[in-house]
Amino acid sequence: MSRILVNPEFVEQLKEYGHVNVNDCFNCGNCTAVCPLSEGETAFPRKMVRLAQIGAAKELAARPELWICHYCGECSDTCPRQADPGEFMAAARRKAIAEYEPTGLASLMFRNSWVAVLVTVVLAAVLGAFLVSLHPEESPPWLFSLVAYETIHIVGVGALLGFVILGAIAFTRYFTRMIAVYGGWKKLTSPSARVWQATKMLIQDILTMPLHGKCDTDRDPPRPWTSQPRWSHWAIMWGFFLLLTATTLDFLLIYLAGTNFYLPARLSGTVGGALMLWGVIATIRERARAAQEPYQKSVLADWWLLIMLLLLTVTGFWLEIAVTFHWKQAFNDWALLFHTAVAMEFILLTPMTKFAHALYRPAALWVYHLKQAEGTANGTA
Amino acid sequence: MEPEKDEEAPKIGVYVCRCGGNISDVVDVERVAKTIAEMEGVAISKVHTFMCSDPGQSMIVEDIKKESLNRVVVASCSPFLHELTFRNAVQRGGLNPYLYDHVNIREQGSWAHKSDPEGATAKAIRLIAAGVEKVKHAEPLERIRLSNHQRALVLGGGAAGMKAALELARRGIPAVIIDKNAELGGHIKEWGKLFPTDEDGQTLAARLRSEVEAEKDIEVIAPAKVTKISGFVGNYDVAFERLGEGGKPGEEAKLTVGAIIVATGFEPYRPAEGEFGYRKTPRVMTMPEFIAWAGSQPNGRLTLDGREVRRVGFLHCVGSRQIEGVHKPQPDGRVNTYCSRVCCSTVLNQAVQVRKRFPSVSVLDFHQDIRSYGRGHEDYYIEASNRGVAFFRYHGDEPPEVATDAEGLVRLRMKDYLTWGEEIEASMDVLVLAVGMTPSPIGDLIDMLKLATGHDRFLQEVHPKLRPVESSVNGVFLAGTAQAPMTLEEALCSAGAAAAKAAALLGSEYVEVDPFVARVDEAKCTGCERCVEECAYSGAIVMVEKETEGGGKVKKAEVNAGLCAGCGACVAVCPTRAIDLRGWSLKEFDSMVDGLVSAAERLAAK
Repeated sequence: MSRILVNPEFVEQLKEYGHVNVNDCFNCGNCTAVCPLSEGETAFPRKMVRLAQIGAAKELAARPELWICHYCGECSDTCPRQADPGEFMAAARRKAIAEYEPTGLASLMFRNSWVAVLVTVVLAAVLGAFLVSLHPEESPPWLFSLVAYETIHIVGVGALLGFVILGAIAFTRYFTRMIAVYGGWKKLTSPSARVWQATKMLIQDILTMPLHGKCDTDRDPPRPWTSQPRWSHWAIMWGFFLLLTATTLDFLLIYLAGTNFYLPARLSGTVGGALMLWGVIATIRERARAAQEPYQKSVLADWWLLIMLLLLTVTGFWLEIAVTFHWKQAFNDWALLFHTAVAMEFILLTPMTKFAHALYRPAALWVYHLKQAEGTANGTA
Repeated sequence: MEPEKDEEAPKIGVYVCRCGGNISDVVDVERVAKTIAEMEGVAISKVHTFMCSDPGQSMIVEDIKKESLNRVVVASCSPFLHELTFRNAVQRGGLNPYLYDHVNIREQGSWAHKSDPEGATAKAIRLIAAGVEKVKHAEPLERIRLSNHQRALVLGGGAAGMKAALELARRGIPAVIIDKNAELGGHIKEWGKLFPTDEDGQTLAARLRSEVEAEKDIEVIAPAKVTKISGFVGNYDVAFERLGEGGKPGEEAKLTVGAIIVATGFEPYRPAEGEFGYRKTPRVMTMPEFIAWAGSQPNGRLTLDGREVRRVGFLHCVGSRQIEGVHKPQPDGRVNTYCSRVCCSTVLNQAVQVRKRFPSVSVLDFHQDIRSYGRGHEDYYIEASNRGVAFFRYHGDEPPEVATDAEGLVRLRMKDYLTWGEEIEASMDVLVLAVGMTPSPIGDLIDMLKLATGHDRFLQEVHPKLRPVESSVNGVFLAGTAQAPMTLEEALCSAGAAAAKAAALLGSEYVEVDPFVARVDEAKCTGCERCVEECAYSGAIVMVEKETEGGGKVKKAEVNAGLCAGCGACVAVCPTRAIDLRGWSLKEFDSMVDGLVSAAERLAAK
């Protein structure tokens, strides 16, 4: 790293993004010592806290460690100065999302809850109106009297395109900075065996979340698996994957290929929805109870993600039931409109909300595994 | 003065201590005692496990009475530890306490020769034999009584000086304060709110001053300057000069006191030009300069050179904890290696005040360590940290570099060890150098009083733990920061201790000093004056004209017991062996040599 320009006023900016109390930190390093994921050169959260204290904003926003943290809250429980490193890491992640997102909307939404609510409602309304404005066919099939089947797919592709453009800009900016933290692409990827090793580890992370698991099992006493954030998170993530698969299958097999082969999509959607519902409800319950770390200090960004997912899942199930039992009430059309509009804005807003972690965490984990593999590759673990 | 002739034959009791194995594990103490018992004049030779214990001491007391011993030798540890213990025991036995000799066979025996028990035993025998021969010639001595002027002089009217004078006066001892400034109060009156109580320095100084003024037993002579001090404990003659306007010399006067308390305080370290940018830009200032400037600014907004101040930095350890080869030496060639003890808490206090008074100003703190050691000092750290002060830590051997940038702001660069050694650069409107303490320029006083100074140039006490406020000069005590950097609490505490010591000394009409001073055999003295030339204690030995029997006049040397330190320099240069030291006479030394030689013969014969 080149010379860091000190900017003590930065902490005040960071405070707008969450519960930040890093000035109380006296750099003892207890947080790093108890962190189940911090090791070697990828040590946190003390280092991250320090960067915030001295106002090294750019350096902080580039650190992959922000995303290696799965927020178990051990550090906040152990901190002798109540500097709350766990909440700080969450705020720093929000700041990082805002830093790389190109429209500036993320920064506004994280810093002001009213803006976040307004943007969500208005964007949903606009999308809904747009969906309705593209008139359905003369004699629409049941359930598509408000919004045409084709329209959904066309607008969906549009929203996806918007997401891809915005996401790609944000992601590229962030990813290149992350790589630079550990000495650049060439340094990180040689020998090339590291790339394969890191990719393997990343796949494992995605399949079973072993790192997140460490956050739970390293606790004393360990949490029972039913209340482990790892599994509720796992359920949400795989629920989302399966629902995405369902939509994709529907698009490919039925819309594009014009077949009537809807079983894979329905199966994937039902299982995914069930997983999602369990994960979201379990998490909402913990956040509402606010009994223990990491759920003690939820901010709107946390609730936003959970509520959006809950709305999507519940309306999704509703539609599935309606389709299955051939309920032909008019409000099912409205439910479809609501579901579609919310789903599309959810995708569009990905780089501006907490959901952006779905982009950044895998990238950070990959960089992290590359860095970790350095020791193994050189035989100096 | 010829020593009295010993009428009775010596009956010496010799006591060899095992020191619970410390001695006896190496030295064969039984053999030592047996060998010494054979010496002429030795009536008793005994061994005890702990001679300094009550049973050990009682044994000596009873033996003196039962066996009518008239001399005692104890062979044990260093005389620093227990010489006085056994002198007192001998006195309890009914003997003069100076008919005693202490032989060290632990530090100079068993501990030094652990691997050579045979040699250590032989050495113990020789040392004790020397002691036995010496004690045969010991004379009964009395402590010397000197008249005592029951009044104290306090040099310096800062917080410590005023406190010392007040404590003395309240014990009924009149005190005189001499200060070079017209207004008493020293530095604290310039410093605003002081840690750890947040009291105002000016108020504290005014309070002490009004107490001093109200005390009838305190006389304040200020502004004035001491020009000459002569005399000795109980009898110090002090000449001083009242200063007129602008420090011009005024009338001279004299006073006599029994004790002197040196409370001359300190001066803030003055950075050299260019040291951390000092005097290169008005934006780099010392802590006292900052306190004066910030104190004059209205709350809410801080401006310098018409520009709003947004960031203030504090740099610790300026002029303190310097490292040879890293820091530029002071004019005397030394570096200030000591910690000034007050700067850390001062910085934290000022940092908090800046954040309270000027909330829009950010504060940066550059330290090597934060030593907020005193009660309540850590609270300032906690508050500073709560109020968003950013801390940076440098290594002592890599002090920060300070320069000015294009806009004229102060730019500081350093490796920050809280940021794992990364190079950081901070730009500030004001950088405050937390300067340490240096001794006041009191070279003339040090010469006049012959005070000892440490490597740090501050006045040195006799023993940092056991005699912390006594100087090496009898009757001269140290109070406050003249002795070392210390906080106001510590300075006042030390002033109280010095006052208590002085009050104890001045409580009676006479003072007693050890009898170990030189004496002159007038019959042998030729008046050659070599002793006077050699004497390091001005006035301790002087030439006096005396009338001879034939009516003529001759010069003879005469000792002033109050001034003589008993160093023996005069004894060594006297060509006619006319001078002797009480308790350490030439005869005693001669016999010690005899003892060493005879013991060697005795050992060889075995």
